[in-house]
Amino acid sequence: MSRASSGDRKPGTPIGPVLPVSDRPTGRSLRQQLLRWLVTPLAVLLVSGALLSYAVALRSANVAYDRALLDPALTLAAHVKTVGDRSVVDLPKVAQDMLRADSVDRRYLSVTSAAGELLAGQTEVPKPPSMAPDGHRMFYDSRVAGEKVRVAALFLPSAEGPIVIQVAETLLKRNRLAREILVGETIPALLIAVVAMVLVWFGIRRSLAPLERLRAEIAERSARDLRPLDGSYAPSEVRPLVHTLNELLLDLHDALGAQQRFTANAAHQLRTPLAGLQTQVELALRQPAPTALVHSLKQLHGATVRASHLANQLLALARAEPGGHRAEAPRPIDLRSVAQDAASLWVPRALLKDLDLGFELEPAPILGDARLLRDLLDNLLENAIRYTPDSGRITVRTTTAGEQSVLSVEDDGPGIAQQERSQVFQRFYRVPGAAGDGSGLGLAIVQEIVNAHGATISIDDGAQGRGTLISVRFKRAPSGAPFIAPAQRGGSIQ
Amino acid sequence: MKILIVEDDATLADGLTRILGESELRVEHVVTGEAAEAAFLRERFDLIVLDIGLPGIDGFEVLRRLRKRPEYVPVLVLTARDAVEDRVHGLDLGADDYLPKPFALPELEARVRALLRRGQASKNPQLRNGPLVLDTIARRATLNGQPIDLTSREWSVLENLMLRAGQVVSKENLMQALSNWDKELSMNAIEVYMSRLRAKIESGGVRIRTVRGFGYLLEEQNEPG
Repeated sequence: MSRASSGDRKPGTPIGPVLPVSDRPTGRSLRQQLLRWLVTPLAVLLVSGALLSYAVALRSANVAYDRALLDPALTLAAHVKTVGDRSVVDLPKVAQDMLRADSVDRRYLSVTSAAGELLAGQTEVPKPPSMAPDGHRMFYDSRVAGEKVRVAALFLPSAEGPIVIQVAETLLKRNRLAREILVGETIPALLIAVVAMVLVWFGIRRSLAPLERLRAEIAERSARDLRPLDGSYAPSEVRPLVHTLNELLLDLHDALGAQQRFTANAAHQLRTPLAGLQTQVELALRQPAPTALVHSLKQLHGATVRASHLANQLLALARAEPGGHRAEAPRPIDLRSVAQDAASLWVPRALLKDLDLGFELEPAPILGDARLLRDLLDNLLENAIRYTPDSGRITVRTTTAGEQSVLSVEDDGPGIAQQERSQVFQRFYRVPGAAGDGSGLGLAIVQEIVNAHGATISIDDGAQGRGTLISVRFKRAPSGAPFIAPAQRGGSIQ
Repeated sequence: MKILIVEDDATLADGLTRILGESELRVEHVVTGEAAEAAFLRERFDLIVLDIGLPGIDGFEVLRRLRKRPEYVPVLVLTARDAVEDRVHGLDLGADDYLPKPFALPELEARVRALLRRGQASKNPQLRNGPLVLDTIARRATLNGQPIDLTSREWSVLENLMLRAGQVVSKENLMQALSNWDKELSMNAIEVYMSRLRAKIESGGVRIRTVRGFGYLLEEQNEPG
């Protein structure tokens, strides 16, 4: 519900300074916190898992290739013979070449005697960096012709010392497998990561949905809607919060209600003695009396009328304020019939000043409170009649414009200066130098009623730039709604 | 004519008794609802001015009991309570008019006169407004004692205005009153009758005001004598 202008007190406004929620050190978003605490560890976990399984797979693959690399070495070893005091490799060159054959990698063989003499194979294979730890076999990385190779070395005992059998192999196969493992590991890991993030995001969203709903429920509240929040959908962690909020709302409602009732009761109680006072003074004024007494009686009468009027205005204000009237759902009502009902009360009063009070009424359906709407129009008309000079012209209009239903009162009186227009809605504000004995509450009451209906009010110049045109724009109700005649007529039974 | 005032505030009751007593009406005043009931059971009043907030049984209950009686007595409700709510309640129970406290004396007097006039219409065939007199039985109108010629439609319009002298009568209401005569009466036709009617009566100082876009109002004049 929009609150149109200054001068209205918002019951929810805190008294002391309150830090905006976003500035508080602990006020980070729950969603962000959950995301941070779930997503970061999850990401670390997924990456480490992928790296670990990559390392394990790579290691297993290397062991398998190493074993395969040992096979030609073992075959060679089986063909090392001792002839006299010399060791020879008893394997034809063709067979040796077959041992070197591989579809992918280049292989190098070498059989070297303890004395360093090459018994078979190629010279390029570098010597093992050390004796095998178990004295029997070892694997190591090295280079042949600038290319990285993996080397398997076998140590065969002989009379002169160990004969070294080496098989070296380039790394093409191994590198290819490493790439395949890497790709094979990464894609499922990425998929898992994406799915996990989506699940986390949905989970958080779903869990926080009741909070969002609660926020929306509070946000769409008007300042006068103090009913308890529903909260039945709230998770058990949030329910105590809702409960506390509802207690606060209830306290607020009670406090406001007590204040309204006090004002209303006081005004009610004042009315009967004021009626007695006014009747007696008016009666006294009809009797022949000395001039001085008549003067005093007239003053007394004026004061009584003002006091009566003030009591009525206070009552109307108490009714219009948030919590001042029963929390009833707005009912379909036609602004035209509100204006028609007001005619019987105001036309005779306008005629006392010889004012031409006229009506241009078209159907203008809205949802609203009949009593408040009548108070609104009464106050607009009372002001117009009070401030329009004798023989002036006042027109009440109801009409629709697009999605709005409009009630307006136009007069050809002195008008309201531009700079006064925003202030006239304040309580007890009176235009400086204005005639009349208004209470200064009329337009404040109008403003409250405008707020209660989510309507807007504007003050403009009247026709030809003269006088005042006050328009209240309501949301138009569907005209098919069943209409209820507003309350009853004031002046007469027709 | 006799009026019963039911009001527990002494100052207001005194004022009401004196003001209504001035216009040659006999006035009886009681303070409680019970006393009011006893009074209207005992004798017939022409009007009851009834306060709602009474000690003991309240005004609504008095009204409810009164409306169970066979005879019809006009009731003007006075109340300090919340205007429209009481109004609806009061009129539903059969009050004839309503005046919120506090009120100006002329407003009270106008309503009292209107109710008495309406109550009398059945007994007293004469409707009076200043120099204008309608004899509803003879269907004769006189202005300053001189007979004036009215068509039956003009008569019907004038009679409606006279019954609510000083009050606004909407065009719709006049149309309804005339529809007995003419089913297809247009709004414009009402204006035509009104201008003819004005020509016939305004020479005597009786004025019919136009309420722009709404209807008409016959200015009320003090009863001569």
